[in-house]
Amino acid sequence: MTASAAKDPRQALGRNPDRLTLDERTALAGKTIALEIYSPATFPLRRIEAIGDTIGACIRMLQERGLDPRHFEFSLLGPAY
Amino acid sequence: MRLCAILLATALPLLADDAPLDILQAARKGMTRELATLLLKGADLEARDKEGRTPLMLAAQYGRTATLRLLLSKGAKPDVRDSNGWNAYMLALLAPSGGMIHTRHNAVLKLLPQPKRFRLAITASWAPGKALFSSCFMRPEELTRHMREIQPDGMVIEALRRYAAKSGRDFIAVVSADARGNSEISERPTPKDIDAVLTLLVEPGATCVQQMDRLSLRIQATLTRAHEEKPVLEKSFDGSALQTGMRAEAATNPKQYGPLYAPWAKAEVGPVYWAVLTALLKD
Repeated sequence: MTASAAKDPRQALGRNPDRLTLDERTALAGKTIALEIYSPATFPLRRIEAIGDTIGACIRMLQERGLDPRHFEFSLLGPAY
Repeated sequence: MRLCAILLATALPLLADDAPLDILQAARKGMTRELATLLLKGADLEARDKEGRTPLMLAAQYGRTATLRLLLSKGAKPDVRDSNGWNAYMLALLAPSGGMIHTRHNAVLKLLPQPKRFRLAITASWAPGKALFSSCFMRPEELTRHMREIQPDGMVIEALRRYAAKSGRDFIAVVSADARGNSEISERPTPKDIDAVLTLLVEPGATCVQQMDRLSLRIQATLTRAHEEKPVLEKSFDGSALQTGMRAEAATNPKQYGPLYAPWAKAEVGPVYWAVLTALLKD
């Protein structure tokens, strides 16, 4: 059985924020996520690379994963509607 | 038992009101006539409170002009310092807790010995600090180039010079100012006839949040007296003490960076100026 991001936010890593299930989206509402900044040169996939309660937590997670936070934008996950 | 406690609680404030007025209280409250009587009875002109403040210092701090004049005429020493290193002039000019100016004490300031005009050399540079340095609109290297054009260090120097000339009451003369960019410009020699060197490290921050760049600006100030190595002031200014700051400033395109940083730099140099003056006035 696939682990749900609704129970463990880390399970949302690598997922497209628009493809989260309704349950996951409701559970993760209010969390901050990091997505790679779009540029035509890199054309990154839109996927969650870090998730946390604050931007600082996201930055820390990116650094732990060996990623440079300067290449990421941060968004607040809103509730599903 | 409970009745005793109630009686004591009621009586204690009354007893305190009846306590004899001492010279320190009289000076603090500006009770000039009572203070003169206490001096006639042999009260100590240089008595100290728990902060090490004399009657003259307290009269200066609370702007009691007539009391201060009397104390000076009786020979109170204006140059002694309290346990924090502050003298009467500093206490009249600056709030001991925050370094904000007490403009209402001008009459007191005129009666006290005037401090010297300090000659200050400023060197400033900028570097990305602890805050994230990233943008929704520019790649990191483009952002660095853009910041070099904006010159946040030069911006802070200019604001500080203006503040010193217009609002700083002429206590400090900025005799040289050098914006060193992000350390790519070679250092110019610092003039020799100065009292202190102020080194500023300006740390711009930018974070791409919800497709807007959330900006921040922090100034790290280090003040060193001429011919001394140990700094007399090391402090960070990040706008947290201000009502308005950069907490909610967000740029929606790169052209907004300069116009958003500039007013913040202007707002923050006031606290920097008074902190520097406080450090210089302290012995």
